[in-house]
Amino acid sequence: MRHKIIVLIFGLFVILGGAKMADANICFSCHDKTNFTSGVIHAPVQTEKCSVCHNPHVARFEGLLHKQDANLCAQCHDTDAYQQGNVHQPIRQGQCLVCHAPHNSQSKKGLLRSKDVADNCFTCHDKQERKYTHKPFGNGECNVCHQPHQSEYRQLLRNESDKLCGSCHNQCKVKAKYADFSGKIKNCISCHNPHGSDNKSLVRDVMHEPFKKGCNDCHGKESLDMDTCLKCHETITKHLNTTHSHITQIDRNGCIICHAPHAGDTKSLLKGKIESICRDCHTGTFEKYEESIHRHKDFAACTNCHDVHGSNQWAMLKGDGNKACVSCHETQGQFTHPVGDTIRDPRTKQIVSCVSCHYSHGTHFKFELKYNGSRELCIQCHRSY
Amino acid sequence: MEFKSLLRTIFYLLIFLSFIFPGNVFAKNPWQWRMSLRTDSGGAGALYMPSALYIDAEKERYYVVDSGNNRLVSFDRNGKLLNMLSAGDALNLPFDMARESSGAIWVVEKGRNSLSRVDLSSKKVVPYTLEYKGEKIFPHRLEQDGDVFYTLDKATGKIFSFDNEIKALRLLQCNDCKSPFIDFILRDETIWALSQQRNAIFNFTKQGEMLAQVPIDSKTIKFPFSLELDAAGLLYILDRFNGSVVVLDQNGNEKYQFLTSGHVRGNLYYPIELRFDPWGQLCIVDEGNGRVEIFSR
Repeated sequence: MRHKIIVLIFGLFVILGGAKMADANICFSCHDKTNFTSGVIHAPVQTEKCSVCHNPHVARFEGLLHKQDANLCAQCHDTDAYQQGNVHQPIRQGQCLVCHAPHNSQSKKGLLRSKDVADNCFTCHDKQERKYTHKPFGNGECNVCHQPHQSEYRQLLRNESDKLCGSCHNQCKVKAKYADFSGKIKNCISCHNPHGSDNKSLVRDVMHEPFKKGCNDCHGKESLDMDTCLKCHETITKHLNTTHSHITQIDRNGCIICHAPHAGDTKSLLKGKIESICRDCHTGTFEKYEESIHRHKDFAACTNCHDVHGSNQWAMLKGDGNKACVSCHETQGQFTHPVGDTIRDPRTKQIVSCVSCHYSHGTHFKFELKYNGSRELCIQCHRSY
Repeated sequence: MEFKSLLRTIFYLLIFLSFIFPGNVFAKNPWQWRMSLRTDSGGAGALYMPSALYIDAEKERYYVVDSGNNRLVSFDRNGKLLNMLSAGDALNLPFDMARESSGAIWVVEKGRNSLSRVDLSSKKVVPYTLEYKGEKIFPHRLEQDGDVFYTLDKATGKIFSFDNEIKALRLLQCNDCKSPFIDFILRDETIWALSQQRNAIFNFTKQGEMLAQVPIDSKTIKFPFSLELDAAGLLYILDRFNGSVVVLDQNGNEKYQFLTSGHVRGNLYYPIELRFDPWGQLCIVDEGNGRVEIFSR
């Protein structure tokens, strides 16, 4: 009996030792070591412990990985800390390797895929080449203002935007420049583009007409409520007198939640890309979209389907569940499953429309169907099948 | 063998306990679908985008604001269709309603951005555009306590009270809430109001003293839209996005949730309002499915 135990212990020693030996030597007998060891090297590679991430025999995931995406990284790195507040999209999707190289990197810090931080960012984000460029942006120092993983502030900023500006720009000099302005100088990015502009002083490309003339068209009156805006933008009023108007309950003037009152980068003076503005409040919608396997390709173009000032349809659709879709899907509604006013959904007696079967943002089923289209969807109404 | 016997004993014990304490062993949702308020079987055409429910306890009637059809529809306590009121086709996107003791009806009309008094006998609609300190109000929700009415301004998320002559609006400011609201109810001379922006429910007196703040978990409730409070003090939150109702205690702890998004019975699609009727039933105005679902315990 004693002999058997000794043999067993010895056997385990040999097997475990062998595994370690395999980490150290065997992998690089086939895989060229120089491909993994230039520049800054990821600690497991440095210590030649390939099996921290890879299984040498068989695995469920591509690259013989033990786990997939962020789950693998979470074995050593505290990824939970990156899930608080506003989270960078690749992190939300658990795709650390969009930015980071798993083995080695030429970047000095963070094992980034590109040597320079900015090049890494520009693989997804536009370069926005402009006549005048903000110095940190021009130098490719995106991380001076932005956090790469998550932030409690919008746009993954490192601080409130004004405080961030103030960290480099001397406040006394700024005040001296606006000596005539009696109020507190704040909200710099309302007028200045922090990346670049074709205008001097990085003033945003499109200036609001009253702002070009001065301040008194809007300021100095009793209040700055929505009527101040509607006085010129009368056509919006009809959208506000709807069942589902987009009047927000934030401050007295809901217009400036989405629109910049002074200057912007587009004609509509939006405060950013439409999808990022919408996401600020409708996070659940965007999260559900990202979780979906089958997604609407133009999801980010919210205004294609939604009348963002207000509509008499639920979800502020541009027309009912058919009209909103056929503006792009022209042939639908004509020779597909009967839809329209005369066709009633037996479940609800409402008109059968595209949204009776599709959830247009995205679902787990083909064509963004609400249920599996092979049977489950059909028997919702056609019970006898 | 002994181990198998032990497992068997535990299994039978669990089944026994499930009969003795059903609420503790299995899901705790006590609500069962009882009926739908619908108009499609009465030749009146289906409800289209109903937006609110008003209940007349004395007459035992439900009034559904059928916004998409510009009408108010009444049902008896058993869900039988009684009447449809369009005030001579004079209503313009009605959204919510209340009724004063004289019988006249107050309607929030989105199409006119007004609070309108409807005299049913003469079919006369008198719209009032509201202002407070010179600023226009966008009436959204309407509640009443006797002949005192309360409306939620969609532009500011603030609650105003007024009497049936609309002589003066009174702002019901919650001093410490500092939050716009999306829905509110009146209970025991206090106000319970739901804030999407703060992900919280606030309880405050009509004098503005905050009594309680109940947090809402934004990961569970994606788009809180309407609220209710039951006799046991549990809070019911309608999640418009998920098509569900989440029940919380007054510390914000989830007790249970029920219903899901869809179109069949028991599913909700863009639900818009949650109210208890005087008989303890939970009524959900289901805008997307064009019906009011009523659940009893």
